[in-house]
Amino acid sequence: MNIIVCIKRVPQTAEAEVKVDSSGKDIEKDRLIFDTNESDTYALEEAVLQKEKFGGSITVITVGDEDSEETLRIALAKGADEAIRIKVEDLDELDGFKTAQILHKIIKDMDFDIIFTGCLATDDAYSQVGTTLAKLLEIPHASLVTKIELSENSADAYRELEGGLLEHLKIKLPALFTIQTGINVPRYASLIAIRRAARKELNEISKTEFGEMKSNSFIEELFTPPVSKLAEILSGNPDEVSEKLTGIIKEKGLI
Amino acid sequence: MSLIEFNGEQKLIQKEVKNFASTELEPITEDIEKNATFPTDIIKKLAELGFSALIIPEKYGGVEMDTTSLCITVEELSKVCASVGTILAINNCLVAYPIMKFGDEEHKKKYLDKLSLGEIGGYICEPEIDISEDEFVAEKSEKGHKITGKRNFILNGQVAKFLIMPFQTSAGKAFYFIEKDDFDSEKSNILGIRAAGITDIKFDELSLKSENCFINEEDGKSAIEDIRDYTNIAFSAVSLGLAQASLEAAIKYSKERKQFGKFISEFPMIQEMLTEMKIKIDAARFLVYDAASKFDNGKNFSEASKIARVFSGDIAVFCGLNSIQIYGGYGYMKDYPVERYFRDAKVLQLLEATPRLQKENIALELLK
Repeated sequence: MNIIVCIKRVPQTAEAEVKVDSSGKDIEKDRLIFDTNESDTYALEEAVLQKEKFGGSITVITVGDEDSEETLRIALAKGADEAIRIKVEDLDELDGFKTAQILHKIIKDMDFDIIFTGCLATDDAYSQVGTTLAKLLEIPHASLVTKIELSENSADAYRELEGGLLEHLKIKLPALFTIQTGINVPRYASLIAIRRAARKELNEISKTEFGEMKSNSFIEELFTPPVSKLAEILSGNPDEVSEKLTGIIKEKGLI
Repeated sequence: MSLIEFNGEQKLIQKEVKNFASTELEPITEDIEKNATFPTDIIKKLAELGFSALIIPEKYGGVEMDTTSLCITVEELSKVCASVGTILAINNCLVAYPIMKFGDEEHKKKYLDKLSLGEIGGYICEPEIDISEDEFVAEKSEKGHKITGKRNFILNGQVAKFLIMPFQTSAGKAFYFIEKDDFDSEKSNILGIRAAGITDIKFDELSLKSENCFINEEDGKSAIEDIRDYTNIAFSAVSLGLAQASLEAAIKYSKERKQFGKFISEFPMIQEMLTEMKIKIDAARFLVYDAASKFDNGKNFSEASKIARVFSGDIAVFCGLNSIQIYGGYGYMKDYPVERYFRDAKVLQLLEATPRLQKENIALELLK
């Protein structure tokens, strides 16, 4: 089973103080910590689990700048066999569509059974790369996969839907799956594996080798939405507060 | 180029350890420290990843990483939980290092393999005072010494499968292995690093056999100095991690806490305290990693390690106190982590060798 995993290095913004930079189209990243995109770590773990079960090899690919090397090496330490970085120095020029086109250029000539990607990048939240890549490669795909069972030529993929429904799909391989967080428990890299991964050679390919590619979306502005109304804290004893609250609810026409 | 420039491998190690510490260790730290519970599950997980055998050569199953990486690992863990940082510093520096440096092949095979498989070893600190014969008796016979009595400050004693004991005889200092079945230990009630499993120990007519001696009286004095110097590097990394944790907590709190209508981070006095902490931490970091780098490059690291230990030990206490001050009354409450940083920092000024001893040795070298 030859598996390709597409991963991305992203800034950790969930608990950080995020500020818009002077361009008004990006955030200040100098003080942010970068790591592998969360759902990509689950995609990698799923690949390692499948390799442990069926054998084969794992190739991790990222489209990124020099710092992305770190993301690839951690993936190697966790069980990937080969790593490819498609060199892009100006990450701002990438959108999901363009990234998918770049990945397509290299993956179309590779021998693979499965492609795993994360379901969503936490920095831009486009959720676009996996499904666009599947379309460009003209292979079937399933998104937001929460469980996957592989057999020789096909996969049983499970997707969680709204309303507590679970969808079971039978998909012929080769296919692409975008992996939801929680599908497994991503492992930590052992220290000895990190030491070996640090010395391993990475394959680097310049994006320019693939010619010009177009984006289909452009950021006009990034901003913190203005606070429209402040929260109102009701004061008084419980009876007074409940009376005020009932008044507000009635005023809004909610009852 | 900065004086401290980690290479690619060291940066990867730092990243993964940081990740482990924040995900696995942070959620349990408060609880294990409060209840003085040895973090068995976490240490098992860490051991599976190679942390119990950081510096042990690969041929004995270890990770064989350099001392700079050891310090990075210990610092990152100690930022979150100094007990865990200390447990691993002890296992690597006071247990693995002496065996690697002074043990024969048989000892290395037996004990280094055990450590690489995730077992924890312990170290019996030398008594700070002469223990009276009522409490500790060493009878000498033709076959060696027989000991009965109590010793305090057994590092990793709660879980250690074997201990290393420096033992003073009339001919000098010798180092012995003591197996798990040969001692009973009891948890010490200590102020800081309460989850580190430090114990008291009792011996009942234990024979110190010659085959269990791996450093004899002839080499004992230089060996203990060398072991202390090496351990100083890792213990200084524990202090550094604690100091950094204090600073980060103080910065965060000062940006959240309002007083007189302003965030306290806007007050010049608070800013000065934060700045003083930052300057001292940066200076300590240079000293710690300079000592580690000297060891890694085969240079004399003896003085550098003592200086790093004394300075980082002091600044960790300083930063702990400053952080408590910035927190105000809340800093004195167990509901916030800064009082723990201070308590833990203080222990590092005492563990195994005190600053006075380090300073005395630095002075003796200066005055030679």
